[in-house]
Amino acid sequence: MIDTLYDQAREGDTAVAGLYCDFQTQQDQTITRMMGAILKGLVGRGNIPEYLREAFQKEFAGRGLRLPDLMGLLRKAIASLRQVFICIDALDEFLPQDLPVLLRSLKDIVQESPSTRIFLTGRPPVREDIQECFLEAIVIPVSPNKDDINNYLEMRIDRDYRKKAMNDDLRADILRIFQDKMSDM
Amino acid sequence: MPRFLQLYPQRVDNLPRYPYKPLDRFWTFHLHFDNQHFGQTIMAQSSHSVSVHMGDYNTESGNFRDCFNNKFYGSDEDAQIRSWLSPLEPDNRHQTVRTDRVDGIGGWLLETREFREWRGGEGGADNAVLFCSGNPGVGKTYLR
Repeated sequence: MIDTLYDQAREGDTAVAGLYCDFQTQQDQTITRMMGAILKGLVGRGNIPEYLREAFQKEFAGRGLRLPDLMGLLRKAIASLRQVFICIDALDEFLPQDLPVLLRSLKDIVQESPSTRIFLTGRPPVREDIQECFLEAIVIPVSPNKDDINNYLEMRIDRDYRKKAMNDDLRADILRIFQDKMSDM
Repeated sequence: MPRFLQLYPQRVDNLPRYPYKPLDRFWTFHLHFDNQHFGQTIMAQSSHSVSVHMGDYNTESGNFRDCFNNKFYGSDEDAQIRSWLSPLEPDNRHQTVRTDRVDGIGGWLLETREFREWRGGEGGADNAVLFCSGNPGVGKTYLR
């Protein structure tokens, strides 16, 4: 998704920031770090904008940033762009007690610049948290897609280094078993 | 001639300052390899080093050093600012996802009315959020 939006955004002042939440490194993913990573993503790999350099050198003199500091800087970053996409994967793996604050911060961004688009993924239970903050959030259920799974399996089978063990019957069996299992998901 | 080690540039740190201007056609600069401080003088034809922009031929080695490091590593301060903003490096995870993904997977999402309306930004702030909901392992991360 990040790549798709990024490709579509090549022209013009559009930026895409993508984040992944991960249960295993949950403690490292604090709100400030997440918001900071969004800002870092929006800045991209190009030159550091002057207001950020100044903030680093003077205003905050390199001290750790707090959430209000970051929100102010994010506001500036977003104001300098025509459109902003923020993608966050696996929201259910974000620290549950901090999730409302994260969503609230995203809401603040959207209220400030309504053209901002936010793409979220997660397990069904986080839907409630999201809709508490964003009443009109569009929800798309994702279920295993038969063609996607087949494509993926074909790729993995072709990539398998034990080529000799593979034949058409075995290939067909593998695909069939996965299809059966999938219908249980 | 010193033995030639791997030809990848390490960070250029201690460049001597040259009292003379580099020749017009040639640049002379020292790189040190594997952290050993023996200078390997490389004569590089300027026409072949278009990727490193020097500005002009009068540039002193200090500027060359900054220029070189900026080009290949980003300046130290830029890197500091980036990690000051956040120590998280989502780009690393993104590279892994990108490598593991199969082309075309999840393409159905891009065709949905919901996605297109969201993407087009028609709803303004009210429709700012698109949430893809699914159980573990259904492929949410790999949607395109």
